[in-house]
Amino acid sequence: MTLAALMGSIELGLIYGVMALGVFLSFRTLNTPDLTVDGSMVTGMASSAVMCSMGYHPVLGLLLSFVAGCLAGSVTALLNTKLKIQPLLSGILVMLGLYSINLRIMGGKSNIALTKSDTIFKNFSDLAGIPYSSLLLSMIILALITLAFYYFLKTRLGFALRATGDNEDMVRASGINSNLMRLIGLALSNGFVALAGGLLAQYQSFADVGMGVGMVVIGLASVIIGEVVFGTKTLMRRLVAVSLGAILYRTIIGFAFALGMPASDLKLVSSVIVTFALSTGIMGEKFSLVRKAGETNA
Amino acid sequence: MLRIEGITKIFGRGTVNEKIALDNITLTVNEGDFITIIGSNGAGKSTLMNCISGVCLVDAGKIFLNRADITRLPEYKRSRLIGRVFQDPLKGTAFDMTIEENLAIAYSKNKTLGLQRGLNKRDREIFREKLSALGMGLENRMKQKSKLLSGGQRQALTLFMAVISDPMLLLLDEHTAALDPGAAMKVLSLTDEFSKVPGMCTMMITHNMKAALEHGNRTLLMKDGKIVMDISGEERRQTTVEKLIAKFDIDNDRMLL
Repeated sequence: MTLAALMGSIELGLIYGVMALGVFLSFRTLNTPDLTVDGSMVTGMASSAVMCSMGYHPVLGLLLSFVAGCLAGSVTALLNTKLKIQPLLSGILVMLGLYSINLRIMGGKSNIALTKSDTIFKNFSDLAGIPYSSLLLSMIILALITLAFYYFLKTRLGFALRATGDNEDMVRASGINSNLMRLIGLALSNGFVALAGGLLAQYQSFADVGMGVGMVVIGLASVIIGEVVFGTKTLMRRLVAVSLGAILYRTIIGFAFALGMPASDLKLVSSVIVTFALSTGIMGEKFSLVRKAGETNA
Repeated sequence: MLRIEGITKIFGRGTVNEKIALDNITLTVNEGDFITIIGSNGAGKSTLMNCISGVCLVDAGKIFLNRADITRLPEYKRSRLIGRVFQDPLKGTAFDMTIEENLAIAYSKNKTLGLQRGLNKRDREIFREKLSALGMGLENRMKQKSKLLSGGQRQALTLFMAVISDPMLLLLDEHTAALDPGAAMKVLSLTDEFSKVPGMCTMMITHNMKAALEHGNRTLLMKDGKIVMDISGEERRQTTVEKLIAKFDIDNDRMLL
């Protein structure tokens, strides 16, 4: 793999890191795998791309992405808490509905090119005037968001959110509205996923309505790989691990491409990686059971 | 302090499985009361507690706590006035959070939930001081995750969390049933101690008739959704497990343990 390709993978990984943090919030903190992500990622891309192509400031586009993602996550949470639809199904329903909404945001076109529009990456490159400015900018953004996550999860509200994923009975017995916590958690989670989508659209200078397929799996892969490789000892370490996991995942994929893997196999590889990562827990248990049984026999 | 007026709870109304869990129950609990509740399985003890705490809503009747009508109040709002300990030690704490973080959640029950720091130095000092009073060494393990605690330690912690925010009512649903005898005894003696907190009343469900008569100042016996016995004072002092068995024809082995 060439240096340029490696740098490209890391840049992408940094942006996907923002998404991975969003997925972390629903998957780990709330203990709910949220499939809304496949839709809300594109909602973020569409919102930011449309704003940029219409000549608005790219930062405004990112803010809109975040808000749109929050709305999408809120709908999923409301379906789950108010209409009592299972979390997975709520996510699928919203993800499906978002496909049409995303097309509408994009004015009925399935893709938008931003080659002639301002993006934060182009603006920053002009401003900084150094090579790899995109890398630097993505790094700054990811670092800021990781810090924000850390401080947020250490607040009173953050405690309540984390406890909701752990033990909802305890949360309600502590005078906290667990449904509201789910709403806040899923809204923020999808807000950051959509923000990542918005960043991605501006980074690659285009948005495509079909790009969300399998995003949630990529997010889960990043979370799990990060946790396994970099550890979960403290909250800060865990958050950094998740971000690094996304970078590592992108780099692995980059290497696979460089070794000649066809791009069309990407989804299969992602799904195999996540299956493997998710099953390590149960595999470990089974093997240790076998070992224990062997010991008692001997 | 707690007044229950004619509450009725029916599960599966209109089906073949219709079950009257609570049948027109009226009860007044005074400040400082420590009521123990016994009764065989299905007598309605847990349903009574679930109706008081808001896990389920009653079909008829009214519940007042400190003169406020809480009959229709959602569970989480009632929880601000009510401390609870469940039978399952896993249910009382957030397992993947540290002891001090769990305490912080319980401690800020009646405070606004926002972006304030979840834990500050002063909180930690307060927790450390109060935890050391439990005599379980938990004050030195505040940064450990609660999943590392034993069942007894966890129930003691949960009990402590239930009273840390000065509730008016403490509800204990067989909170020692899942513990070994030693740990159960420890948790029961902590319960006695905490029940003396002024401005609070306590209700404890137990399957252990001996414990029911030895702890607290008043004992209720429930049967088929009704309170069939309510004793306190001299009458209660004169009562023994044997007398209860003879009087109420109790044939549940588990209650005799």
